[in-house]
Amino acid sequence: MPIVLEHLSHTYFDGATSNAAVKDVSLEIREGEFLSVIGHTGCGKTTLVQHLNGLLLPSAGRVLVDGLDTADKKQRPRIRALVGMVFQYPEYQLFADTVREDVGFGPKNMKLPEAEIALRVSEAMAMVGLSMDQFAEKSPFELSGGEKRRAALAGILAMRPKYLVLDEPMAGLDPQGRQNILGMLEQLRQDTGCSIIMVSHSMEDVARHADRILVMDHGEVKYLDTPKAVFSHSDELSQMGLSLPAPCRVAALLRQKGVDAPADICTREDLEAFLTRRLRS
Amino acid sequence: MTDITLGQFIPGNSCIHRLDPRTKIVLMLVYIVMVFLVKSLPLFLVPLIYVFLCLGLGHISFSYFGKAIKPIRFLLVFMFLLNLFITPGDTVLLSWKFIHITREGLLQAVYISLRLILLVTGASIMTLTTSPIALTDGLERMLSPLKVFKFPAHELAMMMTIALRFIPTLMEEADKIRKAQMARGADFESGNIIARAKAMIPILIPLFVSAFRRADELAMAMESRCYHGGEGRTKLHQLKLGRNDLMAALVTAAFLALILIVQGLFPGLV
Amino acid sequence: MIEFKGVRFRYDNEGPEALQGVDLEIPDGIFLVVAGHNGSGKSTLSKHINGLLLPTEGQVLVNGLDTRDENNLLSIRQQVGMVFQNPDNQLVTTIVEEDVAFGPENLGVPSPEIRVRVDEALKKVGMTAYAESAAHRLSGGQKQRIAIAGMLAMEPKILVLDEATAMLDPKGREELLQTVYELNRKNGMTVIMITQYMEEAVMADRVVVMNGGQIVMDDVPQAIFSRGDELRALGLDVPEIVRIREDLQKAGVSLPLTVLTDSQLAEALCPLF
Repeated sequence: MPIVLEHLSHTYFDGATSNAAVKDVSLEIREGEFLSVIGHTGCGKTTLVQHLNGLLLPSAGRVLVDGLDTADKKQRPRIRALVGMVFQYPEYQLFADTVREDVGFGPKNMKLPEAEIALRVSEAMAMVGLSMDQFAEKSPFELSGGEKRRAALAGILAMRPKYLVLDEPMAGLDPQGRQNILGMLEQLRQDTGCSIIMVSHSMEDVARHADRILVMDHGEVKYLDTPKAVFSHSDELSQMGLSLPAPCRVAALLRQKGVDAPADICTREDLEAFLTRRLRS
Repeated sequence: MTDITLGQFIPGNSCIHRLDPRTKIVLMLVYIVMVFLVKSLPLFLVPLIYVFLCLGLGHISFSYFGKAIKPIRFLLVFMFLLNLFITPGDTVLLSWKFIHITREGLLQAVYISLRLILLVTGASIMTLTTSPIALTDGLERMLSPLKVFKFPAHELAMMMTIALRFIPTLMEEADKIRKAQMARGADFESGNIIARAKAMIPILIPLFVSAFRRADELAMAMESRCYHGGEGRTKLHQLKLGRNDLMAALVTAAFLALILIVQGLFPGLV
Repeated sequence: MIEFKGVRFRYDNEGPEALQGVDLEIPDGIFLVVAGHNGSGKSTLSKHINGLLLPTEGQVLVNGLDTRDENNLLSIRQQVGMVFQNPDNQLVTTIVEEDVAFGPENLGVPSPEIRVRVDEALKKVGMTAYAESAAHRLSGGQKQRIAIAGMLAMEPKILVLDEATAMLDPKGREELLQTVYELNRKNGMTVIMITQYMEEAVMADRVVVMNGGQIVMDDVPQAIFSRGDELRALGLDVPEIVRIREDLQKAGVSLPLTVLTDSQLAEALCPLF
């Protein structure tokens, strides 16, 4: 079963003024898909994803996670176990004395038996590439930046979410670190079949990894489609203040110069295939 | 949180806004004295008019008078009832079982309530029209003669400045961490007091760690910007007493004098 | 001019050396990018420029002033403006213009002149409209531009950005880079930008790559980016456009090494059709 958003709206009240951050959004997040959410800062994407596990509740409409309504307080623990949520800079939420304890915080809140917690902790740490021998008894505050990020991620994975929501999981990492996280997410999806919902500003990553892209603008859904389809709207995206993946930009420039580069070029490979095909013949 | 007016600041350019913060602090003290000097009901009109005069001159909506009182309404009711019932007196107005309401009690209750209202609104007007930084500047300058006795006036003001700057940032961060832990199934709402206090640990530890990291980085940034204590420091906004301040002082003195004279002439006035 | 002469540095006595003998000369007016992965020593290097860190061995000279002499520090810090990574942790006061004034206030600049400097600095970073705003309500990119204005108000000759773009969204990053680039080109400010995003090195006059506390490459961007495999081995990357050029090269389509940006690539490709 999917996550279903039905006419979801969310309005923030700040004293006298109200601000509609999400307006009448209806969509479905499929099981096992890699969905990327893009949009410039303040477009409502963070507000939207915080509805997926009931951290925020709809002002109007509803959110159903595998049929469970997030507005129902009794269902919320189950919903939070189904939908794992990784915040921006998740390393800032580490708190326990040891990495083992921190990663086990989620499973412990789920009231799982000790043996099961231990199993999940070692499983999650293996997934993010932190060896138990080396890291389990260390203080999370002694780790390097990249290791902290991975430990925090393990803390969510240990809950074995069916849907994993990530808000800019690669922010602030060096190129190596970014590749590690992306590779890990792909591996995770292959191994467990979980859905990945990733908010990201990195258009190249989005174009390469996402099955579908959700484009938000002023609290509304602008596009929800495959990367090729979404990035073919190059003019509209630029108007929204969104950058395009570099290969897209090159293709658009070539079109301006009269070269018949197809509109659905969105990864490096697409562009290179087109160029070599055309330039050889 | 948003409906507490005490401590908020509304930028503006009225003659009240332009007063030197030191003037405002001193006049605030005089006003407090004024409110406590008043010992008769009709004379409470004097500080009341003073407050409304300030609101008008400061271009602050009169609705702020109500907004300022709202957060203390329970305290007001409590103080009113407490004084109503416990003040001893001779003229009994109402007596029913163990409850005795005396004329003195009623008066005392009204006085206390009026004083509370006047103090809160007066203080609100000061913070509404004075930027926090101007207030700390004013305090620093007023306390600086105490530097002779090694009193850290500059350090104190700098600490207040930084605290004011970082309170919103840390509140935002606390909210983010709380959400992140809730996403991991943390429950902050059920259980007894001890369980709830324990549940706060996953919020407080990251918050402290982050506050220390921020402090570290801020110290480095301040050092990079040539901060080396209060010595030889100048200010963007120089504090200068002007005609405006003299006028304000005279008007306030007139109000105070009015109370003193009337009460002196009619000592029995209630 | 900034000179590093055989600089070695360790954070504590037992730990490894974070800088292992750095020799570097940075001439006036240059736009220099220092790149390297996390822990390569690039931030340690930057903190030596204004004496936040002092060399364990060797010396750092800023326009001839030795950072190890405490009497020089104030003058060095006035000449070297430094912007850090986290936009939230370098603004000192609540109101924007008061924060920009913080540096000149510390230097004892007379009040009327502070006013002039603050207004000018805010204008240069395009934030005049926000002079009386509350700093914490601004976006990350705006906060960083305020931080730059705070430096400009001290009238420095050198601007060091220590991973100042790392926490910004693409728009904020773009605005910041544009601001810095203009300061360099129009006002002749020396800019030293520490980063791990190689895209940002494209517009530099010169790129220094660090690894293990040492300088391993030092050249113009075109030359640096022609060594893609070496960069990747150092945990860095080349910009996407350069990567495409590499791949095309392998597929038999040769393009000049000066191609670093999307428009340059399109320009170079067009005649081939």
